[in-house]
Amino acid sequence: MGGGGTAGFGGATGGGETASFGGATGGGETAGFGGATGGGETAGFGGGLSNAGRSAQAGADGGSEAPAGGRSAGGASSSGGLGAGGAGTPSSGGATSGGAASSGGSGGGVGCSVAPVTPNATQQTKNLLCYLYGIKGNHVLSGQQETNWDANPSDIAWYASNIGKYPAVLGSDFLYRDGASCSSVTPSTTRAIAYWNAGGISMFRYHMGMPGAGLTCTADCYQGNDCAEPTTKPSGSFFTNVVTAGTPENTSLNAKLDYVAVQLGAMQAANVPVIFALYHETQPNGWFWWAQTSSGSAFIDLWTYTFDYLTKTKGLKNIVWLMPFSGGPSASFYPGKAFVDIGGPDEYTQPSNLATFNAATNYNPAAAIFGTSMPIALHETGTAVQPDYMFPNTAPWVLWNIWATYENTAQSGFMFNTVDSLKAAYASQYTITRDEIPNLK
Amino acid sequence: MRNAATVAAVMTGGLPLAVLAGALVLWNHFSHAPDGAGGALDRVNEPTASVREADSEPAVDSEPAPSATQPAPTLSLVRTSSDPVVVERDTRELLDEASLLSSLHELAAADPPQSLRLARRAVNRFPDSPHAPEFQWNVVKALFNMGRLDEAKNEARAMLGKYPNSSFTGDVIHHLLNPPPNPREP
Repeated sequence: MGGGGTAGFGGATGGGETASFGGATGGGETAGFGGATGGGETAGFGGGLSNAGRSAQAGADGGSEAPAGGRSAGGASSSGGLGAGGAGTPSSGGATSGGAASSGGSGGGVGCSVAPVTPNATQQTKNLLCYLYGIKGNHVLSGQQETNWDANPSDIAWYASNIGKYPAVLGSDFLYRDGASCSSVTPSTTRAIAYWNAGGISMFRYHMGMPGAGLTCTADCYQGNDCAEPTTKPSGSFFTNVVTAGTPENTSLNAKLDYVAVQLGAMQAANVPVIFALYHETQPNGWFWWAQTSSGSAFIDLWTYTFDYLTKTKGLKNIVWLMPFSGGPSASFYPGKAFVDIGGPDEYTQPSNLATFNAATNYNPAAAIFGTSMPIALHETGTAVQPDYMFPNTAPWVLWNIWATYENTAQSGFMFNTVDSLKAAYASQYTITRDEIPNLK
Repeated sequence: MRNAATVAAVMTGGLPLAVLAGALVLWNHFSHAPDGAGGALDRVNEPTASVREADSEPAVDSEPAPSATQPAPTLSLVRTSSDPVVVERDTRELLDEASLLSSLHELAAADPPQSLRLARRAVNRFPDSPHAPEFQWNVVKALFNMGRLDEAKNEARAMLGKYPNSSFTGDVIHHLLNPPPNPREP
């Protein structure tokens, strides 16, 4: 609470520049997740996202029109930023009663009590994670996986032309280098940086080819020999070898992770945080080599080895770690809160009704593993979920990410989405599009 | 073949069907316990006689094709003193189905030929079960795990026709019938 550069997670009051996740009241233009009242120049992560925020665009009570999309003029950049600490209680919505005022609010102190699992995470990474926690339960980020295998993916442009909005999250894949070497920055990485600079959020996964003697990123492929979906399945001591220094499998894994580090490093240099959904669609008897095991402990060893390699050995500080299960998550494969920031399942059911699809059957099993406080992400889906049928408690996904081409192309004769169903999802008061993401920089 | 009603009576031990059904639900639930759960309930996961038979069966290629005729499930007519007449599946059939599903979960990717045998048996015996899509998924997955990609895709196409709205069908469509391409090299 207080005037001038105030940041809080649970709520903030005061004049001047006030940033709040949970709700904000005060003088000036005030925006908060829970509601907005007042005039003046106040901006927060909730700005423009709450019902009142969107109303403010039309000129709500209490003040002049809020900045479109609620982009903060000072929220995240207040002194003290949004690092860990503070006693702010995340608000789940509501107006000025949204959460307790943060004790870190005054003078630009911090109010987000959630810290990334990445050691010494960058400020932008902290901001992103706090933002995800802030919208949990009251809003959902729209997302689209781009068609990385094309030289010039047109997915995002299609949204602009047909839906009139850009997805908040751009999904991408390290598999597709477009000819770049393992030590070069790929076009996918370059596009991700541009998307962040345009106000969006980047999420990457990696169809990493199965590690083997002498194999680097150049051998990566989707399906076939030594591919992510390999024709030769891991056997024998593979899962032991791949995390044991000096083995051919481990040397290969490190080489592939070195390639990933080049990409993440380039994004880190550009101050871009990345939601990283590595080893995606994990489940017992999964499709990819990393899940071709019945042993949850083997997978967890792989995950924690990779976590340490990227954050400690390679020094990366811009990763929000997403544990990406398939539609059949297993608690025995969960690495634990010390290595995971957010998590979720995927979903490829052909819905009988696109207008009401909310993937609720996949939400609770995932929440049972990750807990009720962690944001649950539908990190891959064939069909866009309909936020009007998700909130408040049915299936409050924090983001959805439609798989590449599913947004507008039939798959085995079935349209997983239509323009109308996507427009409905994007028009929901709960949906966040790229222009509505506050300044996380 | 033993009289089904006699079997049902013996199996139920005179207990009302609702109690037995509840016990079967619990048994099925706990048979899906996470790895290493251990405990007394593991005893219920011991394979039934019909599952043990699979261990001595000939190689997978001699497994009957999915379209082969199998005996229809035995129906039992069970009546209690106060309940109306109901027709229930033979309780041994229910136990077999649950044990097959449990065995497939436990095998996961460890033994694809065995998984294929069990999954095909389940598909043949329980084509109308709520678990049928998952049994069929296990057929697809086992073939895939053995590198028999074309056969896996054929089975996946069959799923599309039989179970279009199942999440298991969506999964095989995504991974097998419409997979992303391999990277191109300019």
